[in-house]
Amino acid sequence: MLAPTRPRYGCIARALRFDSVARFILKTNLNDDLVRSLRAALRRMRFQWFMERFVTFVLCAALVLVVITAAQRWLLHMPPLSPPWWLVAPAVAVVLAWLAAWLRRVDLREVAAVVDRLGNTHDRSLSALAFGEKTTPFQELAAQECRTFLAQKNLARLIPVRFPSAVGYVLIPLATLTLLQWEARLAGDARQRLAEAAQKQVDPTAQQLEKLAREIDKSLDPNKDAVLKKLAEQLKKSAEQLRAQENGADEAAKAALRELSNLEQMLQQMQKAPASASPEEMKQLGEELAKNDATKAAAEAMKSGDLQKAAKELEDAAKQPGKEEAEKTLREALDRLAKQRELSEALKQLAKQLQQSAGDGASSEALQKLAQMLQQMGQQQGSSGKPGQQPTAEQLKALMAALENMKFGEQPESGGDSPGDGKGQLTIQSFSKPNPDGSKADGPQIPSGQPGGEHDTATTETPFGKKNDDAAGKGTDAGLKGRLGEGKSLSQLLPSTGDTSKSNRRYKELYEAIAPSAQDAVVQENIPLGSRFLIKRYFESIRPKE
Amino acid sequence: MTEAPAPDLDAQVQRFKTTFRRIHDEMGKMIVGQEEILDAVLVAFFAGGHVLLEGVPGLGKTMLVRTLAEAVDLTFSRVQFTPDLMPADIVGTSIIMENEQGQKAVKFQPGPVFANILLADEINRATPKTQSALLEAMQENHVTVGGHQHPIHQPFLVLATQNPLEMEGTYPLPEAQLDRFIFKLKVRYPSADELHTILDRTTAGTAPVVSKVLHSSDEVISLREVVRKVPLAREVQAHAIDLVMSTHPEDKYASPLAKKYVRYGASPRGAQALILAAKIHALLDGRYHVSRADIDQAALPALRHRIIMNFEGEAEGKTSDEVIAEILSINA
Repeated sequence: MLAPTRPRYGCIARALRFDSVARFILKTNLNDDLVRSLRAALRRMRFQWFMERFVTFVLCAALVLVVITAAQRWLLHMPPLSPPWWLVAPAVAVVLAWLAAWLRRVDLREVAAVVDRLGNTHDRSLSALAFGEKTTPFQELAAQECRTFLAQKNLARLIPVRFPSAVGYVLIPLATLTLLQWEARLAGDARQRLAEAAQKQVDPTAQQLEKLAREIDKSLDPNKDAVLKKLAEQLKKSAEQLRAQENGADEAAKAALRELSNLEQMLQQMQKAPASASPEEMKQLGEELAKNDATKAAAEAMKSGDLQKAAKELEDAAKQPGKEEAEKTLREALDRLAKQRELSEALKQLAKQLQQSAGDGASSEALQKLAQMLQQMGQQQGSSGKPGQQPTAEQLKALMAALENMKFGEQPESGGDSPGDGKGQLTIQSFSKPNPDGSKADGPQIPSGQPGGEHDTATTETPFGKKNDDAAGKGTDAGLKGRLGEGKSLSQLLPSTGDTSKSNRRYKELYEAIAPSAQDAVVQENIPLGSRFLIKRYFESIRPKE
Repeated sequence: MTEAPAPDLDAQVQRFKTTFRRIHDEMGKMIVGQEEILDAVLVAFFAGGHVLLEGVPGLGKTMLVRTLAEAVDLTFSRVQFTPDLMPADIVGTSIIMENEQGQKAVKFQPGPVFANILLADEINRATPKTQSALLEAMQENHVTVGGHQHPIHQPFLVLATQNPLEMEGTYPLPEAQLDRFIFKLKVRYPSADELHTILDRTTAGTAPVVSKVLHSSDEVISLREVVRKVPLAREVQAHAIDLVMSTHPEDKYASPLAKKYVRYGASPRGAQALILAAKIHALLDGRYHVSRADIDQAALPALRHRIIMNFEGEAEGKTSDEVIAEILSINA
């Protein structure tokens, strides 16, 4: 007798393109119980397949997560995927495993073969299905015997449902992900500590740079002075770059030194630029020229600040018969001025020309040169406003001294509460130390920019010695004769000497090769004691990391 | 409507089982131990195949064959193969005979092959020419002498023996002849307990009498027909084919040992032997269908002489039994 559900199941099976199953269901009338049992076994098989595929896909998804997390950590330098993202792996695995398990086409005869193998039924399920169509009496006899035998067994129970053995392997990617998270957290904390240390290291320097920039902004009108404006912007930019440091205290200190060196280099270039005479020089020069009648009118004009008129008066004086007397007066005035202070580049050239003409005995055009210089200064004065806004050598040297103080680790001391003195002059204290007797060294001691002359400027016997009246009065530097370019030099192109380079073996070798000789040179050479510290500190700063 | 099974079909099956057991028991009166050999010989007998027995002398091979012939009441003949044995000594010859009227005529004198059970003792001592005389009889069930075919009455069973130790002066059976044996059985040496029993039976008292279980050859033939009716599913038959194909080294399903050490695999006769033997095993197990386990049970005796090892396999001492065991484990 046919089971009532058989045709429906057969149609469904046919609709699902399980042709063999449909044919089997629709044509068989004695194996209904067997078919039901086998379908129950098939469901258990699908569930087992689902679990096996689930574990497999979870492993694959977890492996992908590990790869992504590792790539984010070490290649993209991003924070790793957070644990909620890990739930994506089992979610995807469930969907894929379900699809893989339920889309797998299985004939009931395959299920019967599995059941027979697991249940030790001597292929009775398979034979009962095969002989269901009953072609011979012997086949019917065999099918009857098989059905009788199988009726006593629960075929579905023969299909084991257990966790796949590979489920233990899921712990491996899970542990890997956990370790990656832990390592990323540790690395983040370490990076934050480095950044904090770097900020702590560079913060004073950055503040000083910003303070210098503010002082420049306050003391001068940057809108009318492009040089000072550029300088202030560079100071602010350097301060920002320093604040962006996050590679630890050592790297931050090196970066600060580099920034200061760059600023120092920029200031040196500004110093080297041809400079005109300062107003103070012009004032003193006017007082000297006023002692001669021929140049008295020009001196009055220089005192009053009318440089165009002074230039015209000097040209007139050069055309008068007593010009030799006027040139002599000018030469003596420059000599006295040079003894009192360091002359500007323009006056130095003028004095040099006067000395050459005096030595050769030939007549010179010194007055006309001075007139031309004054004329140019007058033109510059007309273009930039008032003469006090042009950055003077003293201003640049004061800035230089302040930067050197920063490199040396000193806090620049501003004169009073105000950064300026109200005359457009920057009052930035140089690194000069109080004398051992308690007296304060005078004024900013201006580094010359020459090797060995940045800090002590040959004004004291020792870096912190007593005030040298001679140096204070004359302001002349005693240049040290170095042997730059004369000694042995080692030049080598290193592909990995950059700070961001990871390979520093050759750099280490080079450093170890030159460090002893450099140390000997610092001790033996005629280098001022104040500079020795900086030189040693320089070599300390370039020491390769261990 | 369901077609009811033939009422006598089950009875035939039961009769087959009973007969098989009775013959086995009668042979067991004379043959101590060797249960597997007895079963295999009877399986071959009811499957209509021939058996090659391999074993050292004195293990009861001849006694086994003689006992079988007595139990089934069939004609029995024995040929001791020697190097000078001629084919005519086996198949028979035509001789000139004079009748009562004095007329002379050529008459075929049948050889020992014209028996229901033929014992070819030490078959490997005969020359290949003489060995091949059995080929036609074993496969076609008739012999041709003088241009005339002479049928051999059924049932016809050849039980050949060979000694694996003495190889000098022997002629190994050609593959074509080996393939005609349904089984190759290795007769093992009896255990100590079995030897006790053998000595008790043969050295004291009287020899046991073997009763006749079958009284005519027709009974044997009818039982053979019952065996051939046993059905088997397509998948089970595919299993037998898989086993045979796995012995072929060039086949994609060949086992690793077969690929490495086998020169020639089993022939289709091997698959036939597997199926026939499996059907008998199924009936003896009380089933009316063949299972894969039945086929596996017949694999060793049915395939071992059909697998020809290559030089490398023989040099390394590999046997066809190892190859079959690996194939069975792979196809389990």
